[in-house]
Amino acid sequence: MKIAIHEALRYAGVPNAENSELTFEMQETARQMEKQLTPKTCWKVFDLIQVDALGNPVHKSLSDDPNQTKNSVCGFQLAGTDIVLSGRTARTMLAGCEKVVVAAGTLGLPFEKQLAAYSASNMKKALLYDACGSAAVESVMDELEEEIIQKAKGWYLTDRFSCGYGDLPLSFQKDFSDLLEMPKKIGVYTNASNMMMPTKSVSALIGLSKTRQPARVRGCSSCSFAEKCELKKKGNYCGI
Amino acid sequence: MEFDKILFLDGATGTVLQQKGLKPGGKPEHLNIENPEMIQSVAKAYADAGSQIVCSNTFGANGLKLKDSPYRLEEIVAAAIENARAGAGPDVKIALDIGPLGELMEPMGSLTFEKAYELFAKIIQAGVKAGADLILFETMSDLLEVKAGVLAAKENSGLPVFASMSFEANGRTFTGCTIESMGMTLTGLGVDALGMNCSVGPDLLAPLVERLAKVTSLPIIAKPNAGMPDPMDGHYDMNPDLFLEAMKACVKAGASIIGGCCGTNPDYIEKLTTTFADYIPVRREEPTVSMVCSPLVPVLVDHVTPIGERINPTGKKRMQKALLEDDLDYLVTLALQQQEAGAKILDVNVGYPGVDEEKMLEKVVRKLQSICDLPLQLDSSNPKAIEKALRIYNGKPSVNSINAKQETMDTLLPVIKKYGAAVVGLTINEDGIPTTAKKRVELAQLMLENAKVHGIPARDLWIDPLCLTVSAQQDQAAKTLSAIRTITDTMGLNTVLGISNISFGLPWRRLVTQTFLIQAMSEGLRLPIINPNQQDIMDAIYAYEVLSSLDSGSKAYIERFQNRTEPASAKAGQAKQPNAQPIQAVQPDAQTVQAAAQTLQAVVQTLQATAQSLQTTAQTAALPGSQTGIPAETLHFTQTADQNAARTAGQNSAYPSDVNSAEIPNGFSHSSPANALSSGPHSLGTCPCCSTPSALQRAVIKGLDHEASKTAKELLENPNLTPLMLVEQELIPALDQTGQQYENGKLFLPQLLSAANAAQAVFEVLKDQMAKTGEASLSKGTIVLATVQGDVHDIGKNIVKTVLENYGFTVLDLGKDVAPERIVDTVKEHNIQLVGLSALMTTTLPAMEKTVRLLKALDHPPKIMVGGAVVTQAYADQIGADFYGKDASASAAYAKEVFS
Repeated sequence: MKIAIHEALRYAGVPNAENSELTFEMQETARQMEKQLTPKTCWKVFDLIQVDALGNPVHKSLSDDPNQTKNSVCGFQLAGTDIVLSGRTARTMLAGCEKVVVAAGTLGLPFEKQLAAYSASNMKKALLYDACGSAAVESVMDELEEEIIQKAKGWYLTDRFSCGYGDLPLSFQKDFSDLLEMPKKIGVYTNASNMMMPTKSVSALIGLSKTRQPARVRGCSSCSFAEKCELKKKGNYCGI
Repeated sequence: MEFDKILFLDGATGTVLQQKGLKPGGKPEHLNIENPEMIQSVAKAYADAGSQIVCSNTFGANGLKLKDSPYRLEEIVAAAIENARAGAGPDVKIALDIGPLGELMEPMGSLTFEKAYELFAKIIQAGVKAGADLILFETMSDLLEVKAGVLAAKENSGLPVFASMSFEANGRTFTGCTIESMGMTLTGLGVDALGMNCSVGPDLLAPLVERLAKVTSLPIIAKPNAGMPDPMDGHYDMNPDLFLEAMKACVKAGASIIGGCCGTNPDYIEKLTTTFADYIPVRREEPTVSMVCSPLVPVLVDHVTPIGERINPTGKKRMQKALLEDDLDYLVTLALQQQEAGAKILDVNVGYPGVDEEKMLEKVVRKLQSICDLPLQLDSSNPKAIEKALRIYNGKPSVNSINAKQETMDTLLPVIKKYGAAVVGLTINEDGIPTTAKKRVELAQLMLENAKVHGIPARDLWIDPLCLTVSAQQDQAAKTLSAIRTITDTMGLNTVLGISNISFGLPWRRLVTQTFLIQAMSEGLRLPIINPNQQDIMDAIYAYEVLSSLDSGSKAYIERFQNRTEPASAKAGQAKQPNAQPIQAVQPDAQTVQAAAQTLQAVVQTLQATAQSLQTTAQTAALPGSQTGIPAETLHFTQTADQNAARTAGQNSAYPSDVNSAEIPNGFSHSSPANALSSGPHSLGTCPCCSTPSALQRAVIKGLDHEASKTAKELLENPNLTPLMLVEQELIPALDQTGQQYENGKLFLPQLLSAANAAQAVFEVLKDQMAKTGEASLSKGTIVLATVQGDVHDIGKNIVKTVLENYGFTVLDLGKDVAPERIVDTVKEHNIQLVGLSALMTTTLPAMEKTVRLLKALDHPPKIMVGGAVVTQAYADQIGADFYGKDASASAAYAKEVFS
């Protein structure tokens, strides 16, 4: 993993600290983390079936069935499973995709142990370590995406998106966990409130299409967090 | 069960069932009842391929995973065993297959050891009833979960127990458990075979088998995947031939119970059974080296292995107070300090009048293991306390101690054996400590014989030939040394010795202690019990390891000493560094402080100068899906930096302009310790004539924790100065100042926490002092903090805790994922006036709301402050909280208001 020090510092509440002692400390933290942790990732590819509100397959080509309109596509079923991704976000992000990658990555439980030790002895170190972990798991996902691009030859990838983005409900977290066998494959557990443990874990979806994918609508309007976002309140933007 | 040949297990069940139509994410256990023919056909195929043991289709059959199942657990287990038997035929043994329970154990998760035990016991009882031939735990990743399972198996059945965990190529499970820790712990618990399955292919498994073979003589299981899966199509990359080739290396490395996991099928197993049918596995010798472990840290006693002695209340007022007040955080601090100083094992003794040792030892072990990775030595004279702690200990601990009294041995040795611990044997019996070395060796011999009777291997008995105070019984030091030599050479046992006692009553104790340690190591002592915070004691161990060729290439020695410079104080002949950090370079003494202060100033200056004037904000948190949680405190700062002007090093304008003002070098003399002792006008607080902060305040503001605690100690030498004065006149103003600067955007959160850390170091000094003088507590009030139920992020809450403690509040920290009921009970029990709740995710806000509702329904409802990334003022108002804390400083301000 390649930890973005600037990101990590931003997460730690240091907006811009080039060349400062804090940058140095964060670099040290990142070095330690890279040495100490072995991130885990896993992913699987599923065929997508377009379904209507009743869950019945919708033919891809409108001419196949003149009674069906594009609007009747209500969501995407992951073939071989009972999972249907419905809602505006899924429809937008996966439009034109034949397959979807379900992916997950984590820094692992040893991160939590080290964070607990720092929290007990030195909160500053705990804060830097935690923030560094947030940046680290993002880089783990970026590298995973690279891996997927390499493996999925001949496919175009959509942007990466996750439960909680837009109107994609967090409750899918549990389904993705089952699909990927996350506890067994990467040691990630999802609790009753759909939070993952270890805390530095990310699950994501990436659509695969045979045609080049435009950048999808992103930004605050597609984020379920927008209403409460402290950045947005100040007129800023997290960049995702 | 015979282990003189290779024993063949089966291959994957899930993979085969999915090929037969099971949906991803579906429940294979239901098929036992819904499609028994399918399950039987899998068992038959493996039996036909030559499997001698076939697993029942019960991997996920437990009370947690089946909680919404239409079938009872007993029904499923019975059907599964019956299907396996019917398919595989009478000649094949049926293993009751048990996978992980599917929830994380405490402290990371919420599954308790006791609950895990209960869940396993239910499966095992059902399996025994259904006629299973053996029990196989597999794909485990948490050592404590396996331990709960193995104990449940042994206490609820007489069946053979096999245990297998899933290791990554680096030899660790997802929870960080090492191969060696698994090997020594499960061997100690008395399993019949152990090993690894799933996760990697046989090519990556062979080196792991080799490592495991070094720590156990039990048969080793190897049940790897068919290589790695291709995520695009789900296919594994090894065909049966490649699999067989790679398995040869595993067998050669010592695996004798073999099969396959994900991606394998009967074809893979047939390759194994035809190839290895007549292969005779190598019998391995019992390892002779002593070992103990935590899950993450295996310790082999093939070096001098220092045991930290600090967690012991004897003669330590502060520790006594901590135990009486249930202040386990203090014990954690002691543990982490000793770990940092180089201890390899930590002795844990919590016996003190007024403390329920049976409960406390167990509680402390849980707490320490949740944070510190060193193996523990459970030190108690109460056998029940020892047994309770042994049961829940994660890994293989040592026990301190038994002695040569028959009654003690008869009570404790069976318990030691059951839990597979190492044990310290004191050479003492009814007649006391023998005065001759010969007699002590005889007692050691007696203990060894008794240990063997109970099946405890010699490597697990460590003899303590006892060290007597040399100022009282001068001839005894030589007797102890002689006993060490004989026990080491003729009995081949490791020795333990509490060194510190030797010098009691003598001046310049550390020299006597260090010298005796060196003598004892030369006679063969491997497990000295010491205070690792004493630098010269640890130094002696490093030097000894070099001189006795234990530190190959002097690597460890060089690493420790390459940056060490001779302390200036030693040069001046006044070595006085009671708690010097062992690894770091020395701290400056009074003569060099000034120069150091200037350097520090320059550092701070650089730091400040580079903070640009900008308005940036920290991302608050976690997009819900990505969950990379950022605490609520990491919010916004407006940095109107004027610090660029402060670049010119060596000049006075050092720290943020409102702290500064000619503090160095002139300011320094205002508040030097010498002045403080004379209670001069500039000794405390801010100097009235020039508003220069005192030395202590500067140390706190700059986050220099060692400097701060040293200065505080010096200030307290003044009898007119009370701890309370120090808090009111020094700490609070300094903290207010950093809080203000943080508010103004002149300090960032990490720097604020640095100051908080230094303030905490000062509080530690004050608490020590007050424990000694028996003064009442400084507490300004008790506050309950918790991250609400379902929420697993607690860094934000921990930051608030640190800051509140800084201001003199006592914090009852209930942790994360805390049920509303537990918060309510705590509030009632302690009559709490203020509760702080934190939530990071939208999904856990309802839990916050519920907690507030329950608290407000109490007869005497407490004030409630709420915070966290997703909480807003509007939301706080909506759920009826009394205060919305936008950050830690705001929470502290509110707490002051509540308790004013």
